[in-house]
Amino acid sequence: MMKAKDVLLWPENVVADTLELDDPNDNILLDDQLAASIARSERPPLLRIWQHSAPDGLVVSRRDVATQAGQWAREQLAVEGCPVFVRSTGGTAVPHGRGMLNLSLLFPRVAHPGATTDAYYRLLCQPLLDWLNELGGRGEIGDLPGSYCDGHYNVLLGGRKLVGTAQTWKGGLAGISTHKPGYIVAHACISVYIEVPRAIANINRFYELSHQSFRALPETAVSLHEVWETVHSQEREEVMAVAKRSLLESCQQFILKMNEAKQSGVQL
Amino acid sequence: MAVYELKLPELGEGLHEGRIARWLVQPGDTIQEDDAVAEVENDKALVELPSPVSGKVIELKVSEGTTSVVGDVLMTLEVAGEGNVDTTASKPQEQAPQPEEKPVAVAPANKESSTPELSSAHEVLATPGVRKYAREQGIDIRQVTGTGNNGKVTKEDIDAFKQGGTQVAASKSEDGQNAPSTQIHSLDDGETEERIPLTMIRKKIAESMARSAYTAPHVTLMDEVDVTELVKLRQEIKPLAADRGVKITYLPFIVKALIAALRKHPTINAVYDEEKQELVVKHYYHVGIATDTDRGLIVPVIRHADRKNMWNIASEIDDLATRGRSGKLSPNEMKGSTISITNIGSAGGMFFTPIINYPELAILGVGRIVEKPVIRNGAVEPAQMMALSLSFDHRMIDGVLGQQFLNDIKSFLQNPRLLLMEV
Repeated sequence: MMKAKDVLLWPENVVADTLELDDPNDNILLDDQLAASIARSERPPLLRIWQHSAPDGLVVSRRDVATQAGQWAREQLAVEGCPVFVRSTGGTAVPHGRGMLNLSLLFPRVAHPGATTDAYYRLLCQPLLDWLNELGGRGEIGDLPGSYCDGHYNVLLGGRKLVGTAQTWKGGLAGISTHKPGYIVAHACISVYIEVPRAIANINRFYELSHQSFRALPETAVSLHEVWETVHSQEREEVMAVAKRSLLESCQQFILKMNEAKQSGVQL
Repeated sequence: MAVYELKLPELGEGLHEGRIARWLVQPGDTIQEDDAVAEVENDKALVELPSPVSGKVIELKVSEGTTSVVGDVLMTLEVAGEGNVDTTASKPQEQAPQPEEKPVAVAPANKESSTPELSSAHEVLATPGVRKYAREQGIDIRQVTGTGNNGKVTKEDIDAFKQGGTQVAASKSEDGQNAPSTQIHSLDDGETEERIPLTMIRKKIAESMARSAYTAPHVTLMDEVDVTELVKLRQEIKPLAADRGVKITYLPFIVKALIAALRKHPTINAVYDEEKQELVVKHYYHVGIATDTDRGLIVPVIRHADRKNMWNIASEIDDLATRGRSGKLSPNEMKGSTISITNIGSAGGMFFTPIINYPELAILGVGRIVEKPVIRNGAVEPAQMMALSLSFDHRMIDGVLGQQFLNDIKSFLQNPRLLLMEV
């Protein structure tokens, strides 16, 4: 998945941590606040593992609510009991709720010819693939027409979408020479125990009310619990706890591996 | 003071365009190096574009909502010291070499032919989603007249263009705008040749066919099947179909026969993952139906065809074909097939060598049904014979497996009552 040249984008002193806020909106926007702080070298680059706060709903991009119809859809869905939160990354609507686990790669923006959105997607997806592998699954990266927030860097499990990804790059280039240090947020949302049909119905309702033609297909999405329960028969929150803990461990291992690769010049 | 042109940088590998979502500066603003000047977005990322230089904004070259391609000049800045624009250079048209083959008849005359070529996306206002939709539909978005705000091209404009596309293109050409046009050239020996720009859909067809033909070693088995019973059955069903308002053809039977045979040979409903050296067997049946349209070949997909009865399949084929020919299919309706059927019989053809709808592993080609003499129980009798041509990827499917698969399809078509067991 990853390319050897991607190692060059790996900053020093990356840490992995679970950081969450109770307020759902603040929790989502914490990515940007942390990343801005990282860009100013106030804190080390971070792989943030975090669970959405309640309630269940949707998270959309700013583009999704840029139109009057999008705003109306957001208001109407809230009335129908499905709050719609807005994130800073691109892409389209994804599920929100306690059943969603997130991994955010929060790095300073650097001037490097290899600094492309693809490279950061690879840096985001590789630890997810490693994590799934450790859990006994086999993830794949690719697009999946008909899936929600589709793109080239979905993480698929058994041909169905488990993880959606998106990015935003803000500000100028990081470092002491710039007066406006910038940052990159590469974000992955992992369906751990969402009710897929309901979530997809909400997404489709949002786009219907927005007068947009896109419709997601429920059969393209899967949750970890759905796959897992056939093997381990654990409760949903147990699955989330295991997923969160194991993802943190995987990210820590990934950081060690990347640090080693960067220091030794070893090609992954 | 010098002039600096800020161009759209490459944001991702293979990502050649981005939409200017929002300008963060205005002409006259003084900005510092690394100040964000615009938000650029594609379908999956929102990127603030920092200025690599300090200076004063002279002009914004594109408006918000415009999709630009990598290298397009987005804005100009007045900078101290050296810029990146050589204002003393000769104008491009003065340097342009004289073409050896001079077009003698170009319709229409292109006023901009001697000026530097503009970006293909430079002046078209459209969202990335609409651009993607246009590409999927094989429409050159430059030819579409936008009816949205500030001339923005909408999805409805794309649909409208598909229905009356040639008229719109023609009217644009009459205006002398830079739509692709046919050029006729005189050769040295006095003969003439035409150079016809390809439509997007034709380009995609060409790419897909070449990729399949040069990637998957094709083998094609050709065989005939006695479909006398099937012809009778269809005749019996026709009145019932008419009552239901369904147009019944042989295709629903062929779809069902294909799936029944796939169930016996599941490794044919698969793709070959070259990178991982694995066969990825699909446990769902999405059947692509190659359909001829005025714009070229498209392959709408009947999803989960195994879960649908023949009435539904017949209706869906009719609906997909009708909407496909009028350009009303969404991109998702033409994606994700696991195996395909192509029919040359409707054009009078018999046997042929279909090209696999790659990365699928096989495609069934259906020829016309003709009445032929056959020997049954020692007597010569007339029979309705259907021509079948099965192409498959020989890397994954051996010849015997291919023939067994074809034999099973034949047995279901020869004895359509067997299909009752499969519905």
